[in-house]
Amino acid sequence: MAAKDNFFVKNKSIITFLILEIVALTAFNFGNISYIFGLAGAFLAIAGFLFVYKTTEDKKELLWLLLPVGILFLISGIASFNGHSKNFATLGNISLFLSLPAFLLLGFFLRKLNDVKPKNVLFIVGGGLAAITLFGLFSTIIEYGFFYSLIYKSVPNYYYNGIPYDVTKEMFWLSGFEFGEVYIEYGSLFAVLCASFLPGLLFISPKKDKNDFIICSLIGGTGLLTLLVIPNFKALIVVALASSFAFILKYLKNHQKATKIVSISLLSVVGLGILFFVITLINASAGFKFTGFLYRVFVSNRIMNKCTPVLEALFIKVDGQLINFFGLQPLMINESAMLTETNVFEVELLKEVGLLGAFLFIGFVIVMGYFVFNYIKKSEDNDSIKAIVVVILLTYFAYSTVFNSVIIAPHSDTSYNPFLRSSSLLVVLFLLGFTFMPPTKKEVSVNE
Amino acid sequence: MNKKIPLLLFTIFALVSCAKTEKLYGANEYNSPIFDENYYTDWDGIDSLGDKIESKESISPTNLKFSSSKNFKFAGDDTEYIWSGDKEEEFGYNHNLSDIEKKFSYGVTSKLFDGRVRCEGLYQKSRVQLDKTGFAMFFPKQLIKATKYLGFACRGGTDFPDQRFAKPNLKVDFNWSFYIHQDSGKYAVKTFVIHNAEIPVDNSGDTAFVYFQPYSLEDYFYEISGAVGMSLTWQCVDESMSLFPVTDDYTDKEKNHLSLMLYEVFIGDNDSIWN
Repeated sequence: MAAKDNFFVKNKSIITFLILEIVALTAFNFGNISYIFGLAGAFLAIAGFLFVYKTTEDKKELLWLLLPVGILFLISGIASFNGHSKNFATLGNISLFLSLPAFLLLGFFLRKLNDVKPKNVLFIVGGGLAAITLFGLFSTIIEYGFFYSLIYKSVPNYYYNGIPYDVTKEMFWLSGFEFGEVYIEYGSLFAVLCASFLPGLLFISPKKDKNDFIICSLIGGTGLLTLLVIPNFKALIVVALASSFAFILKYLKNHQKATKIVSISLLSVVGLGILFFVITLINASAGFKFTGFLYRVFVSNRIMNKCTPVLEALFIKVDGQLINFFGLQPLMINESAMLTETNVFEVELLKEVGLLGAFLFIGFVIVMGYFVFNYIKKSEDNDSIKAIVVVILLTYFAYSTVFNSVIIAPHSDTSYNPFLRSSSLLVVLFLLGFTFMPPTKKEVSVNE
Repeated sequence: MNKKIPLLLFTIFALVSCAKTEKLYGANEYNSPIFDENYYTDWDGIDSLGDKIESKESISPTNLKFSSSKNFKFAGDDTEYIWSGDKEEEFGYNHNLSDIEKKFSYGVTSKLFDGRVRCEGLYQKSRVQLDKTGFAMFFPKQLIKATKYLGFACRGGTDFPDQRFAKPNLKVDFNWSFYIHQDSGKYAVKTFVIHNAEIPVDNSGDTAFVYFQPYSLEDYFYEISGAVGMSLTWQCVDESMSLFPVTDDYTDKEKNHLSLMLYEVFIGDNDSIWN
């Protein structure tokens, strides 16, 4: 079948619109009903994959794509059918199972359709993120005023149903169709992703590409302003560190050298992180044998105190079997180990999908990291797009490592939103699919 | 375009009402393990309202009820309500104002509308501790119509150190006032005077439900329609104090003190209307 006769090719503008709409609405985040967009995305992704399979002559690229998609299916399979999943509705579990790989495929599919300029795809995703952030910014200003986390630090409590809550730890947000209080860490993630558009300005001329400059400024400015109004300095530091990549890319004349510097720096950080993670797990599996300095580093400090109960639960054995190997059992979910907010997404993965799932996800990130480097080196996309995509990815994973938030609302006992079920992860997977570039000899694209 | 930006900024600043930061408290404010530090004496400025037309109504003994038993019924209503039991079926959690109007969930006084009619292990977080001067508050919404009953859950509380001392029930008089905004701009103050309500004191967290209702359940409290706030003061009936080695003179630091622990306030049933 000739590519031009294909149903998808003939209607690619409509399909492109549908994909972008789903991704933008996912980025906008409709709280409890986000899984509907996950399901819709899954149907489009399956159709899209069949289309790409039929119309692409060089199947090597698809074979490469099957690697991350396969890993994601394994992870989402564990997450959808383990004990942990029993706390969620069946439809939500089906959506989770399909949507993780689907959003990666959607990004890839959209690139292959080649109907919208890559910068516009980014702007639409950013528009969704900026819209929800802007609502949050305005409602936060109205409810709390400016710089409230600093101003009210010494007298921070307000009462809600008789219980004192700390106003400096929350912000106002649109969740679903209702405004309400959420933890700063949760709302700031969207602001951080928006602010990641700002480094793109380094590569856009305000005179030649005035419109792009304005759109990028508006998206990035919304995020930056939100972080400043709170102010959330920790999140700003994460954005600043991730943005350094863009500065290196811009001001180091030798492009190859710049990429190399960033690669080595990132590999070192990721390598050290994985080493720390592995040592922590070995120590936990051995019953926390470390003492002295090692104890303070790997078991008991401000960050690890929140993670240690999860690690303990992970290695509980019944009749010699690790009962939580595939994620914490439902019983654990109502206990402190499950509901303790660790703020570390890697540890949240241990809760949600256990040891195997967490290592699969880390493996997925490493594999995709390789493809992203390939994209930076070989893609014909201009540097502004590369900078924005890479800074978004870096900020997302860096922020989620230190400020991940699975308990969204301070007043609700039922606002548990696992890492793998977050809409922001779907947006990131979409971007990873959109920039997917395996080491093939020639670019493969389908055009009329 | 340039003129619109300052206008937009002005609009944003004008919208800033900082509703959530209007009243903030320190870590232990009204949440202290020290008895004396938890008295809530705020009158919310309600006592300085302009012209007031006051009227009082004594609640007749036939209308006044107090119950701390497990189950109870309202007069003219066969439904049996559970005062203390499983959380899901308790009267308090099924008739609390914060579920009817979310705005009642905020502020120190939210303790009075959250559905908790007993301590539930939350100690000072579950109650408002009052001295004789009582307290007042503006409602977050105006009361249009209160149906079936008015009442509150309370008990006496002391800082008497010997908890083994068996404390008899206390007889208390209450003045429960509603401030009704009138078209003339004045405020009508309708006070219900409740005599000899019997409430438990430091008895394993037991509370009494002090309530009264119109003779007919179809009636509603038309006298308090339009209320924008309320106040509550109390005092022991004379003979009650002789039963306790405590005082209600809070300036006397030598003796132990008696206070009113107010847990929940019910202003009409679930079909009451607030606007």
